[in-house]
Amino acid sequence: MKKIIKILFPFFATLFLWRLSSNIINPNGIFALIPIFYYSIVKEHNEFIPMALIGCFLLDRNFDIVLFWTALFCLLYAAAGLQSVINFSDRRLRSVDIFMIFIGTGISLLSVWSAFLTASFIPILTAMWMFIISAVVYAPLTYMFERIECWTKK
Amino acid sequence: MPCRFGFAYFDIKRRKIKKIVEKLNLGAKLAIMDIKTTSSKIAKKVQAGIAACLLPVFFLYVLLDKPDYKIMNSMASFVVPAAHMVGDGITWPVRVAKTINKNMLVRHGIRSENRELRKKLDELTLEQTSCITLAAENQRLEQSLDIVRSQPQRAVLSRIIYENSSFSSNTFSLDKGETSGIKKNNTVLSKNGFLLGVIAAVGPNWATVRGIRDTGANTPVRVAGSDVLGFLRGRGNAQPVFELFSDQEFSPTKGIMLISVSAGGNLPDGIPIGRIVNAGNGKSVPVSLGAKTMSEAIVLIQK
Repeated sequence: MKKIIKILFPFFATLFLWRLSSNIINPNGIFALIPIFYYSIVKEHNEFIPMALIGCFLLDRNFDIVLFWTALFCLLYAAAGLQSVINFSDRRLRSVDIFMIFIGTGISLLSVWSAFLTASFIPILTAMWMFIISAVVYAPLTYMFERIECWTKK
Repeated sequence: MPCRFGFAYFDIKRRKIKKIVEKLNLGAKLAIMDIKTTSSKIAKKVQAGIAACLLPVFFLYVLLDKPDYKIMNSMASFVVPAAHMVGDGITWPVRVAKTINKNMLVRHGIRSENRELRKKLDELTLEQTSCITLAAENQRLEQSLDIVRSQPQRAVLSRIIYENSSFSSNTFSLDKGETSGIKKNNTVLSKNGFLLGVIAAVGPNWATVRGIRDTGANTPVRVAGSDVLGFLRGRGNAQPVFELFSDQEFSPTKGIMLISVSAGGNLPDGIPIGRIVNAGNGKSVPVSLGAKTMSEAIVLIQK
């Protein structure tokens, strides 16, 4: 039972956070990037990588863009695997800094492009809010993931 | 002893061998672990390499499939609904809680809205009641306003300088005329407010009035307090008569007041004329005019 939970939990967590998107708290289901990042970079589950790609694809659909988050995730995953200077999986607070860089880059690119297209500052403000809320939520959520993982190992 | 020695010797040997074997096993274990980590590292590198290779593929796809992105859309057509279905299955408790919360808020909103609407209804009912009253008053005022509109703007008091009361005619002259603003067909009243007649001719400083007693005068009148209309026909020196009633069932009785009706003419509405003297023959009744003093007259000057 615990083994099944251990395998299925990342999938369900991703879909759960993607599905519960709301305009203020979880805009476009961006919290889904937390389990995607955690289970593919920090505590890598090999069977989860395809799901991470699907999750990024679903996020792209929510953001109404083509292969943006998917490409960014591939870039991060390649950077995490191909270089040995920085260990992405063993940093402070479950690699929150790497996550912030990842999500900050993505959101900044999207917001700057939207601000340019719409000629307004509202996308920038929205992006700031998305970045803040994602960064704040990352630590408790990943802590919960970690606890669940410990529980499934016992 | 030798046995013992031998035993001891072999015991020591055995222990040493055991230790060596254990060491060897440990080494093997470590070696296996090293192989595992190395292979997992290689696998990770391969995966990362594949991910890196996907980037130019994505880039090329975005460039080539632009602007329809048929592959992505067709993929989304089954991935997204499937994800939705699974997501709905996972998130149902949250969504149920959300729906309950929303319904409670809506219910609370409906209650407060109901209270507000009731308040508004009460206010509006009150307003409507006052509106009905005001509308009735407005109607009454409008009727009055019609009278006022038809009433002259100002009045000119003038002296009667000459009166011609023959058998058939009843005219008199006034000492004021056009210079005072008097015009033909202006209404002339007695000082006590009863109708005398209308201006028939006017000069710079004089005006001739045709009295309602004149045989040529047929004044439209109405029985005060009713809708019965008729005509007051002048008969010279004799008392004018009220006849041609609009209501055939009208039975004239003594003392009934007659007032003027504009009937589209210049005569203002509602000016008292006189009272019915008696029932007469039922079709033509004599009227006693109210205008008594004939030394002065008031000319109502219309616009």
